[in-house]
Amino acid sequence: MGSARPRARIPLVLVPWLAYVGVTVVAPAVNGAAVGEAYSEHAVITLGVSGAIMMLWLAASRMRPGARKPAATRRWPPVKHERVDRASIRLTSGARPRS
Amino acid sequence: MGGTRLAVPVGDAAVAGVALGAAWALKAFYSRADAEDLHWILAPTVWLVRMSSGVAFELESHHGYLSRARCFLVAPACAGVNFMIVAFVSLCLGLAHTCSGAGSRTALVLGGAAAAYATTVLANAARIALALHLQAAGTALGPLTQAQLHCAEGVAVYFVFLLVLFSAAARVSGVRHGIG
Repeated sequence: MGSARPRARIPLVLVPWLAYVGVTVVAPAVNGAAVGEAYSEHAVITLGVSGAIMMLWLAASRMRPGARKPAATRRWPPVKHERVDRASIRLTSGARPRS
Repeated sequence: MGGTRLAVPVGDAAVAGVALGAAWALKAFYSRADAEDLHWILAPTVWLVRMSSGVAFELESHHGYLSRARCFLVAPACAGVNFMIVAFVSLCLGLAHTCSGAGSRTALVLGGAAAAYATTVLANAARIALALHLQAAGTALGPLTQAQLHCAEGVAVYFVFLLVLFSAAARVSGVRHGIG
């Protein structure tokens, strides 16, 4: 399992979520369980709880100090932050710059 | 004309085929299995629950592990085999692109199966131990009944274990983005 090939374009964390939903919600529905009342209750709880946990997981990972941008959206070579001359800023909204 | 090609390498497709085939076979086995057939996963799970909670269980033939003191049955439906399938398929499908040869793909499939089994036993034991606590406390949360809370607790425990397993495996295999 050496170097990763740069093919991933979606957050990989979606893979376990999709597998979980597929096995616990979609597969029973395909097998005919969707007609029962208990199924809808189970599906709502499963989608709600797992979706909420995944959102929290993604939010926590973005708030982590060492978190990096996904490779698909990262620029290479990295752009250095440059000082911007105040006078060179053009306002596009037509508002006057505050003095 | 420079369009986007969604080509899946043959090796990745082979890993996906093996994973989905194994998942389908395990699901078919699980749909007919009784407690004796699932001894390989129920026994270590119940042992861990007994170690962590102190609640004793005894094997009831064909029905599962029963705690008479707590009126709590660990039935075949509670074996966690569906979770094991999810964990195994997630690892194989999510990390196949990190493999560069037949050896690493074989390691992913075998390692994924072992990791999925170990995580299932741990997650299921944690889920059952927590369910025993909730049952003893008679807890209900907001509009949720005790049965709905048991279901939500199971989803939460399983899914957190799944995310931790997947993130750990992704780090081991060198994926540094998109896993959180």
